[in-house]
Amino acid sequence: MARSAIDWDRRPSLPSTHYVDPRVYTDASIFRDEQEKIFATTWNIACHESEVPEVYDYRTYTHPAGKNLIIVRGEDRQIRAFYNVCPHRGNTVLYGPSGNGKHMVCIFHAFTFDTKGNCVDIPRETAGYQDRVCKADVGLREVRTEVAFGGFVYVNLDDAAGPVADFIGAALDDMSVALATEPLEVFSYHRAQVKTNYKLWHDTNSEFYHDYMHYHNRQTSMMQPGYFERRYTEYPNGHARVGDQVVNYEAYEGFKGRDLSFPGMKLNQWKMVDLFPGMTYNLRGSSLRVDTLIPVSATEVVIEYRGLGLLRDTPEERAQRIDDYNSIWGPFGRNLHEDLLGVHGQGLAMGHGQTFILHAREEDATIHDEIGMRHFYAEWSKRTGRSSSDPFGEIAATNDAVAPVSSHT
Amino acid sequence: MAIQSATRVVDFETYTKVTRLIYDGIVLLDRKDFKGWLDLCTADFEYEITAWSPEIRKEMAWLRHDRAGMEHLIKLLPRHNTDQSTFTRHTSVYSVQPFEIDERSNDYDVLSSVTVYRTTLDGGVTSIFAIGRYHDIVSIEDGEAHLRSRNMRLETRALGIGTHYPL
Repeated sequence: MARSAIDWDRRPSLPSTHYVDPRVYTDASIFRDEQEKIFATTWNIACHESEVPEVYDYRTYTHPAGKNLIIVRGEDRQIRAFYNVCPHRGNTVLYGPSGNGKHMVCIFHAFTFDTKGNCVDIPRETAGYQDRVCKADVGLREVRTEVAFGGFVYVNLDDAAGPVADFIGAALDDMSVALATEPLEVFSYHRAQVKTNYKLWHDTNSEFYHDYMHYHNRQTSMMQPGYFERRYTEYPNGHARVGDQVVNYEAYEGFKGRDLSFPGMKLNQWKMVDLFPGMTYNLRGSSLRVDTLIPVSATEVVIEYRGLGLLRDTPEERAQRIDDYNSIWGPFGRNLHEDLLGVHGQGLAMGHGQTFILHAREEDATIHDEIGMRHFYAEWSKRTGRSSSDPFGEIAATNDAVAPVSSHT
Repeated sequence: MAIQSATRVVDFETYTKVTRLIYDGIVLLDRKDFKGWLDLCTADFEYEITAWSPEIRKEMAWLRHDRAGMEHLIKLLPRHNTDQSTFTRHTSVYSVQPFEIDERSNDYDVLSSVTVYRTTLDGGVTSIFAIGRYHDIVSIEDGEAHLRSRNMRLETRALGIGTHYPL
């Protein structure tokens, strides 16, 4: 039955954890809160160690909290991260996504920095600053960095944060053999900039009910044994894991089973872990896909996709992993475009009459249960101090206003 | 009459056949007549979409299929949810160059620029989806030109929501 305006705007008769106010996906003040209270205080993946394999290699990275960073491997082979901003007059130090250089020189006035962030040269330092400013005063701002969980470079803007291992906890334990037995290498990188809220992408990664959208997944997974037995496991800090399945790729015409795998993985086995606030490890037999999110605003996001194989791959093995990966996950893959089409459509609708978003499926934590999203928003609410179903406290205020006055006689 | 193309000389008839093939193929791709486009290709046709990533400093092959793979891809397109925007390609053939080795004497390296425009169904907004170059090998057999391979070499690496279609 179609609904009237009043019916459309009425809150669902569901627990407040089972639906989301659409303003959570569009409001600029909420986004600023997220940058400050979530992204600036959590561990996020900046890149993979294989992107800076040699001494002096660097990558640049836009951190989701809005800071531009440099990721650089030093002479001691340590990977460090710094703000990509010259402390002198605020110019960008390094341009372009990657490069190699013993020193990082700001083009503006030639302030020069080493790979530990020390300022090592100020042109005509004493002549201009006498003893009022010296090199020790103008080093780069270092950002906490750890290489972990498959060689990914995790960064945290919060100097007081605990170690990344504490943040991730046991969420990636089920993938630990695949991730830690031998070094991995990125073989594919691409990004999609979409006018939609970043959480909508993470939501899509956190629920499998949308497999109805994917012809490939319906054929190779949903109609295969074990699919409906896959279960979600929740972990502290908003992370969630989906139980694994052996996929039948040959059920999709023209595709064949994967000949390659990762350490500890069966052929064609599929594992997936979603990490708060916007990272996903998606391991399908022969290739690992890792998604990372760089929100641009409340209504726009850059999604980074990395495909990884084993560093020791032969050229033939690598070519096979690349083909396997791109057949579904590349920018022309059968699945990824459909997922992006979904969040693109949500982006078109959000803020234009969209009512409350349902996260209400309960199926004993199995594959079509929406517990993964609910778990994310529980953590989101804890960190932002906002209810995801009542982000501006309107219901709480209303309830307060109409609450019966207690009688103290 | 001969056409000077790159550093080699190609006779006018061959040049015309080769360029006609490229442009006919564009018309079919724009119409989303992918089967018709594949009919312009040889039995051993190979297709790929590649790009260089400065982020990871590696060559990438985002789509790679032989003829059978392309036939499967095209056949299954209707089963998938796909952005139905129109894609319009603008191509200029830059050079047609014959292979030097005898056993490939009927093959020609063809380099073309390509710009792919995407026009949304809602409102008809047109934007550039991607730019790049076609690196093609065209084979002339029994007097007819056919596409033997195509490498769609992308300059654009951020492709928005992407697409299921060959470019």
